[in-house]
Amino acid sequence: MYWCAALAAYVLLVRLYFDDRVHVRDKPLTWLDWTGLASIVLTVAGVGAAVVQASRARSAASAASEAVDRTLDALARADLLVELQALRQVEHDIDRRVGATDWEGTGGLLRTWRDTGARVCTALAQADSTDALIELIEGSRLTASLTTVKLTSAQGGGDLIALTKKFRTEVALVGNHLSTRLSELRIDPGGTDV
Amino acid sequence: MSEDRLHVLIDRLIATTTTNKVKWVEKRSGVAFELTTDSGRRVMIDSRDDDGDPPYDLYIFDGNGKSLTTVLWSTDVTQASVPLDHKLHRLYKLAEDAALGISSEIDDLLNELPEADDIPF
Repeated sequence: MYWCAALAAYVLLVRLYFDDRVHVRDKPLTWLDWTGLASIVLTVAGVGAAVVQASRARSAASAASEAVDRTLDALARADLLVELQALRQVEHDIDRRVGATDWEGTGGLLRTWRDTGARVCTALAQADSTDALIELIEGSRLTASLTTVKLTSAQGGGDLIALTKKFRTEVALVGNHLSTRLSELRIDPGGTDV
Repeated sequence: MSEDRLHVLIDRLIATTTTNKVKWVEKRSGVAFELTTDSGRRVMIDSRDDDGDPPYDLYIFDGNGKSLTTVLWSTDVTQASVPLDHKLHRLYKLAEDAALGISSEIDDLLNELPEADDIPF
């Protein structure tokens, strides 16, 4: 429809250009002239409407994209929250297991700390690779790995408290930072309170 | 213990395992393998994460069960980084094969399977 109106407007302009009549008011306008004028008005209105529609479509697409980003971000933060809570659980359990001289349980917690810590570090690095917590956790993961060796070497016959002392110390250091990070995530896991 | 001596030790373990001169037994549900010498000393090669994969560590115990030394995988990740890691990896696989009889089982399986009649070309 807009193309037809534009064509009619073009025809009118050509007629006016090649016509001897310079002053349109001197001669009565024919029905063809009126049609052309109406076409010009319609064309301008149509172009304006198209511009407005395009602008709205861009806004809608942009809004949809932002909504998807917010949802993904919220999901990632929820996953991180779960993993951080898992680390806190290890921090809570390790002293109990060591105190009970539970060698097998302690070994399991060491593995859990390593595996969960790896996932946490990956998630933190995606948000901010310079996050200080990453270095702390990576250090404690290495300590966990070496502590596993110590436990295996002791064959259940050593002092479990002494063997795990360094690891438990590093876990406590990480735990201090975890408290703060968990609070931040709970307050703003994508914009709403948990 | 110097690294050279460690290499000598592991090389000897690899050689004697390959020629079936030592007997490895399965420990810790198949993620560690141990051999015992005539004097009662024990050598154990262990998958640190209990999953059969690296890192692998080598433990040496005296006749009373006391740990003498441990040869550690150089990192806490699966990738071998230094020559010692590669030797530990090889020793673990050889010990696993010897303890579980994997090669023998495969040989028996091959003997059981019928010959393939089809010639592809």
